[in-house]
Amino acid sequence: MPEQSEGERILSPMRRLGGILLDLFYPPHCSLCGCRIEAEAEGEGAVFCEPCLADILPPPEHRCPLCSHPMAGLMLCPNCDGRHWHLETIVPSCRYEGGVRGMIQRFKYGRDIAMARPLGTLLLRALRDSRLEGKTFDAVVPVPLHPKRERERGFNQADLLARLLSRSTGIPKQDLLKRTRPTAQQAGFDRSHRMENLRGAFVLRQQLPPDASILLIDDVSTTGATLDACAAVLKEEGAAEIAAVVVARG
Amino acid sequence: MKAADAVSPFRQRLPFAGLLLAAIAGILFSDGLSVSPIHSWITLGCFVLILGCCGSAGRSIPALGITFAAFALIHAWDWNASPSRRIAEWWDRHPGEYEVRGVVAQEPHSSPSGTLSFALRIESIAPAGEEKTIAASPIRVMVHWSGDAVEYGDQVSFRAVPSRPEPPRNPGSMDYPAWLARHGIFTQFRLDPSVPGHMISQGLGNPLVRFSIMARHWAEQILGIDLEKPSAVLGAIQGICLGVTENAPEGFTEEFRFTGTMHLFAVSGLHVGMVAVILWFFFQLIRLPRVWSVAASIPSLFLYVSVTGFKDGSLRAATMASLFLLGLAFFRRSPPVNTLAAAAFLQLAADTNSLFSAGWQFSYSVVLAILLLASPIRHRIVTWHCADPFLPPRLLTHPERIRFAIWAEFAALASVSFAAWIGSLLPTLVYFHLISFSALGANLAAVPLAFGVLSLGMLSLLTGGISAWVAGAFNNANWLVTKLLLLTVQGSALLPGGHWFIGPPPKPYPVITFLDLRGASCAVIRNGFCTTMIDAGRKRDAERSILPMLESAGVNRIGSLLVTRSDASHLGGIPSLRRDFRIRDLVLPSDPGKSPSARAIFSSQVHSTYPKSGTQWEVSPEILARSFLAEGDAVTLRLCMAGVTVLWVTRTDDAALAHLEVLAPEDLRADLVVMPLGGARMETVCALLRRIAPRALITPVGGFGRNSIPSQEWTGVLGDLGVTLFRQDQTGAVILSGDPKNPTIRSWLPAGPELKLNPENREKPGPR
Repeated sequence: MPEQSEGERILSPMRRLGGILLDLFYPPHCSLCGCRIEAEAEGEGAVFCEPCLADILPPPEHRCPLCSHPMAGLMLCPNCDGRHWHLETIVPSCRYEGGVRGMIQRFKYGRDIAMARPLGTLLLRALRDSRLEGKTFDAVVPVPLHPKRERERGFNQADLLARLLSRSTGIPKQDLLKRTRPTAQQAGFDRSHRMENLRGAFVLRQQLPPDASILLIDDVSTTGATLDACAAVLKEEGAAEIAAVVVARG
Repeated sequence: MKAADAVSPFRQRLPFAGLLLAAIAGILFSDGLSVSPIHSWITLGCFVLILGCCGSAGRSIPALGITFAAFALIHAWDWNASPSRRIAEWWDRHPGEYEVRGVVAQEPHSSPSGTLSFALRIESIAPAGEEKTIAASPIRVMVHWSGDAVEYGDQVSFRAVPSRPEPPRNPGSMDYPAWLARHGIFTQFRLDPSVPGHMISQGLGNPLVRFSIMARHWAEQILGIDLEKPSAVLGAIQGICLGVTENAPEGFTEEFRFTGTMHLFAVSGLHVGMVAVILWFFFQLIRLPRVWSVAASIPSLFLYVSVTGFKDGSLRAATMASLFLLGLAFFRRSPPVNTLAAAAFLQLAADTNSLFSAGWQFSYSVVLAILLLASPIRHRIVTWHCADPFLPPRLLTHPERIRFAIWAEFAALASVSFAAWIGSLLPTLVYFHLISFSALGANLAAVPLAFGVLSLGMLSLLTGGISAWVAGAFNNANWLVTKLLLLTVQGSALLPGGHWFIGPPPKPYPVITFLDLRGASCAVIRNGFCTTMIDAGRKRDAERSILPMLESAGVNRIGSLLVTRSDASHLGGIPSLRRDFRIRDLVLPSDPGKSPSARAIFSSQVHSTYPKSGTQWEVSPEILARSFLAEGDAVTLRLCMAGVTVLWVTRTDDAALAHLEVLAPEDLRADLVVMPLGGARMETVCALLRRIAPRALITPVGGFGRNSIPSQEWTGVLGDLGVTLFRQDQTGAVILSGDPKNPTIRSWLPAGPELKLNPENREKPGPR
């Protein structure tokens, strides 16, 4: 067991005390049903009760290895058909239905910032996916919001998720991208309209490290158009490998 | 998906609920030790029983035990062993004049007579004329000041005699010493105007409190631009926006009390919540990062709380809002009941005596009821008129959608109002002795109107620093909204049966309470649920003593009010009584006399006059009255009830007594005489008393005028006649219990005498 530094020895009990105080003032409860949770629980068990956790469904087994679109009984992915992807893969944590759908809507449209923690915890599930096994990333990059939309909402949901992911994994979060123009909300558009809507919407904010391996973060992916538009900009600027993780696939 | 606050609190983790329970039990245990140990052990037993019932609390017992012990110790220090209490006890043993130096610890309060009163933080105390200092610790005392005008933070010195604050002199009156004691004050100094106090230096108080007082005065000025001063409208605006009710006209808050809308003046969660929302949006507008917005909002909220005078409700709301804002920084959310319990716990940790404050109890019980009950009540109301849940929403017509939406909004408002009413039921009953049914409807209209008053007040304050004209425009708009609010409240207060006073169950025999009104006259006869009154005191007596007494006794209507003399000290309180109670029969002497207030009442109030002198009539079941001298502006009354006879002599001048001398002894005979002895001739009165042969005599004693204070000789003279004297300056109110088995006359103040009227106890009068 590695020896603790002097600073760690002082900080460790303070952190523990801070944790106890946080649990006193903000006792752990299930983010879906609101019922009590054991204080000692960790990981997903610290934000969801067992019955609710059982209700959060993982992505379907038969899915597109690239965009994770459900492919039950299909040979070719209808979402990828004839499409050139700039990212390696899109990995969702769960399906966009039931409680998860409600949580994301409360997070984005209800401005319930407390939803960041449970959704961030769910996001960690995606990192255990076989498609990301053995891969290392140089930066976690959130999909940016236009400043006007961010002001309206009060926060960028992808940025909060990326921050939590970065804290859990140790991969540094970098705001490499910027949205240059406000785009209409993607919900309700078909694939071609989504791609058209996003054309030229993103630019690079700062220089990329050479041959960087990037992990893009967003809350929901439906056709993957937004993530791919971001990946296109990063690829153009020299990123070697780009993967994306999202909480849910719509 | 359910929100955390929509789940039953029994399914949530509420760590602060248990800690709060332990803290309350610890405080009650420690407090009970100073009253009687049995209270403490009962408290401890209840606490252990509750712990035992909560099976899941098993693992938390050490934490709960530590909290219990810690709060018991803190309260023991705060309450039982506080330096202020100890020095008050020392002063009881060492009376005399002392030289005191200290700092004014609160904004001085001005009484109607112009006397300033304030709490003083003592720096040094020395016996007058001596150099040695006997104490120099943070002791708080109350000072009734005489000298140059002083403000918060001024250092003053004076010479005065310490005394204990005066206990309530009548039943139902506010227990001022108990209230002061809960604020750490056990001693008062009343300065003699011939030896005024001096100001030594200025600006020594807490700068934040000084700033808050300055800001409050500034805000009061801004809110008063273009409005009539003083007026009910301005009083309401300042009360709602700043919690300041000192400038409002007397009796102004009564209608708010009766309609259960008094909380509008408490600077409650509504105000703090609104300020928090305004602050949050402002910080977001200037694009302050979230964490910095939280860091800036919390101190700003507490600054608002300090400007509005650190009221319990606003402190509670500010603490809850701060916990919610901190949750935004940590991406956490607490069940609202836990946040409420945390706020209560922190407030008790800061001052354990808050638990005994009416404001604290009101605030927390109302909010707890809203959190627990509003949601199920709303759900129930919504289901009375809502769309078929199996019908797709798109099939609803536009008018149907509007109708259902309006009903849903109404359900939300009504459920909060009803839940708050349930939450305030117990404290309203305990402190105001009433149940207000009109509160349910009044709050539905009053709360949105108060929100409008608060919004316009905020706009006036925001613009007042830039332009007085714009602030005036907002104030004028606010005048209209406030007028509507006042009309709503006044209209609700007039609803028959809108409020009902509840008191202890009446005794099965008549009880007469002779109130001590410092020379004025009033007695309340309770016979079952029937209430008869003799005289109504002065106007201020009615507001301060008579109305609280009647309300605390659960009186809702007065059968007869017999006025024995046409002057302000006997009938000045009639308009106030008429405002709050229905008086079935008002009986006035035939002559209005010379008093302008009496003439005004004779001309404005519907009344009857006394029957012919010497006639006996029944004023209420089993109580017979006989009046004499009914032809003048004064009446002598003889009341017979349950074997006890009371003679009420209102005038003791020679002319009035001469009229009584001609009466037969059997018409005069009485067990108790009520008579003002101040200024009366001893020989004449003694001669009359020999004919009456009373067992006791009650004399009202005025605070002013030589003629209103009887000489000390009377005690001995009356003792020789076998009459027990009840001087109301020593007894406070006097209560005659007409229990047929054991009729007694007792003083309200513990130091006064008690007399049993049974024949076997006739020779045993004396102090209790």
